[in-house]
Amino acid sequence: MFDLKMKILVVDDFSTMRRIVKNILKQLGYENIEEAEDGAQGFSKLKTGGFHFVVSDWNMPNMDGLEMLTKIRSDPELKDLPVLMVTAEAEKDKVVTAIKAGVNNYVVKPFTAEILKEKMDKIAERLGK
Amino acid sequence: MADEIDEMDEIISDFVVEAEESLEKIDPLFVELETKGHDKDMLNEIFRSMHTIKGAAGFLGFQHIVDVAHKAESIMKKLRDDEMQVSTPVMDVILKSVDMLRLLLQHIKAKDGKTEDTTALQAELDAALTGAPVQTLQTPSQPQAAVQEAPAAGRQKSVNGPAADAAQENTLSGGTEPEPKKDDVRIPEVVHAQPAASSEADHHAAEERAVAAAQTKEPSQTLRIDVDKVDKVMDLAGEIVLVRNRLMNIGNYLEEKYSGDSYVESLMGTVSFLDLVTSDMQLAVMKMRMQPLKKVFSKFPRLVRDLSNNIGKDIELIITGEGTEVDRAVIEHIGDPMVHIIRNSVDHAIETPEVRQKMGKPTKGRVSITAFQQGNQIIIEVADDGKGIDVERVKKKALEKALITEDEAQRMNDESAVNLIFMPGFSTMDVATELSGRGVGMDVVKTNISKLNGYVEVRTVKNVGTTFRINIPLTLAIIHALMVRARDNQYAIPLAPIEETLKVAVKDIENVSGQKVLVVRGKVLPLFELSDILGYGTGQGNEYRYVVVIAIGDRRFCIAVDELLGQEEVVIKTVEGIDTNAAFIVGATITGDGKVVLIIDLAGMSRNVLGLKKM
Repeated sequence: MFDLKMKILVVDDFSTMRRIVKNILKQLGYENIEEAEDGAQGFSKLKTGGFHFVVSDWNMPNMDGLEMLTKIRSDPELKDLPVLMVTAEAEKDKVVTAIKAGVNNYVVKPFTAEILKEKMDKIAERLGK
Repeated sequence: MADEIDEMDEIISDFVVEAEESLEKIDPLFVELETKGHDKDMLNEIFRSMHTIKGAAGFLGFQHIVDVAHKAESIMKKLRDDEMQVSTPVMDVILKSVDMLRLLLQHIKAKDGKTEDTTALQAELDAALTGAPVQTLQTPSQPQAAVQEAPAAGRQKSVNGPAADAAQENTLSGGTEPEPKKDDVRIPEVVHAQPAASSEADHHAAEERAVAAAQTKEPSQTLRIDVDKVDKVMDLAGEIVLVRNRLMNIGNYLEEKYSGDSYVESLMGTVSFLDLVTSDMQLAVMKMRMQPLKKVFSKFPRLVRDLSNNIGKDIELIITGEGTEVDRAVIEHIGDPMVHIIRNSVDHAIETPEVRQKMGKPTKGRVSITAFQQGNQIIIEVADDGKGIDVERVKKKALEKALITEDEAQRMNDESAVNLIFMPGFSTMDVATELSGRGVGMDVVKTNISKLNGYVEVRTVKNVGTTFRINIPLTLAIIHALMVRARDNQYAIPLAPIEETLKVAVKDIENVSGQKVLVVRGKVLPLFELSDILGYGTGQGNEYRYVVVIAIGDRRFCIAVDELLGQEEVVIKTVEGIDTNAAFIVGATITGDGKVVLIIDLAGMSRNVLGLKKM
């Protein structure tokens, strides 16, 4: 189980999507949420420190989810940051690549609060939290 | 509970806004793709649009949108990854999907609970995805149907290359000899065109290209703000301008009366500073509301494509200067009049390829839209190389409808006559076509444009083409004006169209067949007394007149007044309850010394006094 006070970064280039995901996280009780609109912005925000979780879309301009994940995993400060990939039904093939790059779990959109909780709990479990 | 509903409402309306913007952005890409053929970046943009809209719609439960967007997205993916060829039937189905999505979004926006039946479209999308020949359930017109038969018959209609063009011309003109090769450099159809038009346009296009090159692509910081909030700030800025004017007025008076007083000096210094800051603020507020004309222009390529396909004409659209920025109000109201003008060009003006060929014109008709800033004005020109407006026919129709008298028709020159089309009740095509509605429209165009304090004129040359020129002031609400006195009344004349002001002796004013004229720098210009035009009658016993020389478009004339009172920056306030057009005013303002002064509508006045219509 994750600490409800943890700081979460939501990354997606479509602002409505960010809003929706933020809303769902709030429904689960998380309040400390920040946003970024692409991988590059996401990574620089993470570097400012204090984040405990990342929920990211995969398909974004400028720097996509996979690239950002790779950067995170190669950064000494951020390498253990839990990352949840948000993917579309048609992109299941990308999940394998993502797992190889070190993503913790993936969730297919559209998802409900229950589904998101399940996925996050799974990550927590694997991390021994 | 209520909070959650509000939150949901907001999320949904944000979704609609963003989705619509996304679709708007990809609109011009379709037409570009038809000429460029395969462009991975463009295809990817369209793919991403569908993908993103599908994603959010899924969360919000808009299943129809998800279904359509999903299928369209799958097709786009194949096109982008080169697993399928870009072709007109496929792009048509994607375009239909865009239209359907727009419709569905509108229903959501309107909260009318309605929905659309997407089964037919989905079937088409499925067919396109599997590569089956696309059976469209509505065939818009003959040429379209012919083109669709071609793939089945084994001639894959791909959209690039001279061979394909030959094939296209073949099907369109019904089986004539295909041209062996395309001569000339291919001019990209839209947007990045080299304008062949006037040197003005050339200069602006060059400027534009330089600016575009200098801009680096950086993620922009933007803020979504309610238009109402911006408008409120604009209003307040306008009020401050008025207050500043009053302060300067009082300050000037005090300076004269108490010259040397240190407090008055201080006051004057502070007022000067206020003046500077107010001007800057005005500019900044004005810029807040400005957006590039691209917002309006982006839907035109598709409009021209669809219209010309519908009636079997071959027309290319060239747009220059879409980066020119105008006030938001202009963006909102300039679209309709322009659509009307474009429709007229496509429908009435540009000849069919056969006719054009016989006349020795290129079979491809051309409509060009050029926008640029000229001083305080925004100019938008819509030009076509069609058959021109038949001026004699226009005069005849105007006579028939008793819009002008025999006498006027005789005296009228071609340049004035062609502008008759803007009179109400006028239609150059009495036969209604489905495209242009009742064929009546130019007066509506004129009215809409004058609502923006602008005016529109037309120039035409028989068999060569027609150009519509729309002229709109940069700032709608605040203008520089020359204050004048005519008999006992003060008026404000917009500064922009004023060429110069003169003091002349009454004896220097000549009279030619009942019309007063003045020779200004070697040219004979008609002269009118302002008080006359406004219905106050002429004053008596003047030795001198102050003359304001006005230039509007191609028309130049003089207005005589009793006194020139100086320049002022005024805020235009609309006047309700009277027929401002008939009264030749655009509004009123409150001057620095607290008076209400009417602002003259020079465009309307010029059309009247220069003999185009009697009220």
